[in-house]
Amino acid sequence: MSESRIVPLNRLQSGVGKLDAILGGGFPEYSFNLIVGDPGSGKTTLAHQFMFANASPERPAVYFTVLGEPTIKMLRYQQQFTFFDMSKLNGVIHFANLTDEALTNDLGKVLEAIVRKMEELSPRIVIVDSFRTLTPQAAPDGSMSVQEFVQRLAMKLTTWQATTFLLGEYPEAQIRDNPVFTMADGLMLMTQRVDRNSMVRQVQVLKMRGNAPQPGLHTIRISKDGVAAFPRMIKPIEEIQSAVTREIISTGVPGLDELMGGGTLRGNAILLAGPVGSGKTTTAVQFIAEGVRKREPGVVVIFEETAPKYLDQANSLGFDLDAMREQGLVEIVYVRPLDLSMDETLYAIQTAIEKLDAKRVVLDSISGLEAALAPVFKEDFLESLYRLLGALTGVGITIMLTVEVTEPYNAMRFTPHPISFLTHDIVLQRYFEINGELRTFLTVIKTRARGHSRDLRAYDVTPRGIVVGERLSELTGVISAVPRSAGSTRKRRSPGSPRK
Amino acid sequence: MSLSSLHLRRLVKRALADTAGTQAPDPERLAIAFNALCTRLRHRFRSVFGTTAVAALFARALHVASEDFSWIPDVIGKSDECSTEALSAVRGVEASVLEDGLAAVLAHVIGLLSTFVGEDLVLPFVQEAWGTAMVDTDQPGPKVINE
Repeated sequence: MSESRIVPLNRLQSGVGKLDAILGGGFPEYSFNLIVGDPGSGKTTLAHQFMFANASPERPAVYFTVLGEPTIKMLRYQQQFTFFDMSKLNGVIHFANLTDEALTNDLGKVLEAIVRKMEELSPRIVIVDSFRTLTPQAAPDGSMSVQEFVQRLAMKLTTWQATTFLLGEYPEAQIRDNPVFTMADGLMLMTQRVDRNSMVRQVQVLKMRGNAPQPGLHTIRISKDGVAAFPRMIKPIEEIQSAVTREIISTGVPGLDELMGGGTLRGNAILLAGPVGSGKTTTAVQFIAEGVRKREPGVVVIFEETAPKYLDQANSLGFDLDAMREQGLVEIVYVRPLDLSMDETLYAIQTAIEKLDAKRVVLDSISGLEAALAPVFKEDFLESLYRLLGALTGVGITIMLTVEVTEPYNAMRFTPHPISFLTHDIVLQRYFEINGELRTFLTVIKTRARGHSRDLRAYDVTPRGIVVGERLSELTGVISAVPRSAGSTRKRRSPGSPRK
Repeated sequence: MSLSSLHLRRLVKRALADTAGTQAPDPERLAIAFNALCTRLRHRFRSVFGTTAVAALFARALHVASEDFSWIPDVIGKSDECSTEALSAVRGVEASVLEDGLAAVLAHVIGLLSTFVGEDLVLPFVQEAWGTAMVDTDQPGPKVINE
């Protein structure tokens, strides 16, 4: 008996960054796809991007415009995108206007016009923008309905071996019960919504026959390069490790390493919580600098200060991050927009990690990250942070996250976010008052899978970074921020010990 | 940059002459050549930009050309066709000026559309419609449309 042979399914790349991952590998060749969604959500741009990415002399394309955006305007604006290759308009990409046929309200004439063009040009890519404007659902004179039009068009274009896209302005609610949508091989919904001052665009692949698309809503952004997608479910950058590592690495702060049982485990997420000015950034910079010393490149993701300011601050602490950056050992990722999704942030981080093959990442700070997100994504902040940490630590990257603690000093909270369970190690930095002076101490709250000291250690932020002193054994009630003497406090002051 | 520039007008005049079959066409031949070029251009543009857009472009071009050639509305009626009789009846205007006026109309159509979508897109359509290379052979360089 001969072996059964499966028809090979060639997939065309979408030309849209990361969209292929969402689609499950690209658009199957000869598929009949509907791209629907709100006006302004990027349907036309995405279709153009696909067309310019795939059209060639062997695979010519026709873009039919039907009563929607005037072609003059469409071409005027689309050519502003970097993907618009004017040279392809010379016999590879054709534009055809079906307005006259559409105005007759006779979909049979529209279909005839499309078929005539197909016979003339034999395109392998066909786009109809927009089929929503072909409004007669069932023409009163018994002529062709939209449903019949789409069904016949789908059949004709498939037999012409064309990969086809019909674009239309359909709100999500109208998609579910519309029989037109059952005919399509692929159905993509693009949405955009304004939430307070942020604009969020998303794409959802409702079906893609022959593929296993990633479910759910994925953020898209439109820039001068066209549409870019940010898949919600990400794959690890690279499978660095398959088993849990037991390698202990230094945080770069000797006293802190001592408290943590020698340092942290590679691939851990360390939460560094403390009030403003307590030295969180200094600790984080030391963590990166220590990595560089060990030839472990690091990425610093900042949200509140610009890169030059951050570098200047690090320099004043005795760490020349700029030089490390020039050596290709450090990358600063500055994320500021207030309408970001976590996935965009993650891709910015991933790109920097891949560039350096980084082993350490600092997120400075979680509060800044949350502020940079669009309001709609703040609802999913915890889940998003979980995915972010999982994606990075899962490939052996050690992360230090700083978080600002703002509550009164006599209460002991690690973070305003319920994220402690997401991290492996927690270090708390605090102020306390002694002899009319504001001092700082740190303690380790948690370490994963190993013991740690429960000492409260005073520390100073010095020109050499954080210097951890001795255990505050002479004081009690330090946590309350107003300690009392536990005996004689008159000892020679060592770095980090309370001043007299 | 003016896309309905002198260079563009020169190219259109050459197309008019080619279509009329003479370098110095009389009003009748000029009207026929103009109408033929208009028809071909409309047909090519309509297939891409639609009837409404093309009609609007021609109307605007007529309006702009009329500012320089006041007799144009008299010879190009609502049918958008140049009337041979009307063109012959224009008094006190030299034949070369008649040619300039009609060339200006077409140059404005092409120029306007180029303003919106770019001459790289428009000129190949014109060349396709007229069968005339949109290259100014009077000027150095491979393509001289812009001033």
